[in-house]
Amino acid sequence: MPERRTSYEIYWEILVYCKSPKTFTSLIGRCDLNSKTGQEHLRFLVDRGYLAIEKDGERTRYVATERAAEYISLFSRLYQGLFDSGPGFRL
Amino acid sequence: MTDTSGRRFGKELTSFFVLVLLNLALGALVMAFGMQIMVTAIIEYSGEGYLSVLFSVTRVVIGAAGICAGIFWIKTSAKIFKGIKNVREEYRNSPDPVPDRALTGWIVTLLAHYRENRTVIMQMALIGTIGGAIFLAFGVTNLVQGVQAVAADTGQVYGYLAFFAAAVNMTIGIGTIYFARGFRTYARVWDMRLDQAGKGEESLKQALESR
Repeated sequence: MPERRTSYEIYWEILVYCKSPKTFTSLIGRCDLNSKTGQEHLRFLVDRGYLAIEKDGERTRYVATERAAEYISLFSRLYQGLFDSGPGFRL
Repeated sequence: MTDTSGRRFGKELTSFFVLVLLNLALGALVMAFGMQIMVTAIIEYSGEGYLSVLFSVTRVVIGAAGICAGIFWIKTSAKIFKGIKNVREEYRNSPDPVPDRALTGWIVTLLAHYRENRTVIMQMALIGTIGGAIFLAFGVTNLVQGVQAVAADTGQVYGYLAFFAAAVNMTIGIGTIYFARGFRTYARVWDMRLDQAGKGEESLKQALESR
């Protein structure tokens, strides 16, 4: 079975969801990820400065940085562009 | 951009939603026809003569095939329907113009839905075409029976009933082929979008890895 979402789509979902600080558990639940792939995606985004880690006592929370806005904007432009050009579907 | 894209997205979503709903109804109709053929064959079964038995068995098999095709039809349509129902509800409850992030999220959801159901959608297009052709063939057969009955001047009522059956079968046949064409068009449009999204990934990759 083909992958439902690409990594880029998952990054976008994570960054949009982390507009306000979110825990790992709520994040993988909301973005429909398993623990392993969730960790991988988060590490990738943290390493590149798109997500920041906030420590709140025992809890670790993730929040999107200003840099994430650039990616979110580019992604939205590209995906909404799919409906701007080319033939559409009509019954 | 959001407004234009949002409106276009909404129109397409509604069109596809209606197509899947009608297809669901068609599946139920195919199943009902299958049952009718099978039950009639069993009721009319006389058991006299080899040819009569063979004819009855053939009708039962055709009826059973119709029921199976109808069940498959309903099951696959319901699966496709389930995937777009939530997006449509959210879209209908959203303000106008549609919020930027919500629209992008729905597009991502529908792309994922298409990736997952591409094979099923292509199957619907194929089965719809075959099913439509079978209904049209039934319709033509009824038409010939009607013309023969009226021309022979032996069974006017039978002739009119045959014409009525021809009209029903041909309407369903044309409708089915039309829906199959709808699925093919949908697949073609979304294949192009998948391709376009794939090309856009390069710039996303660059943006992500530029740091």
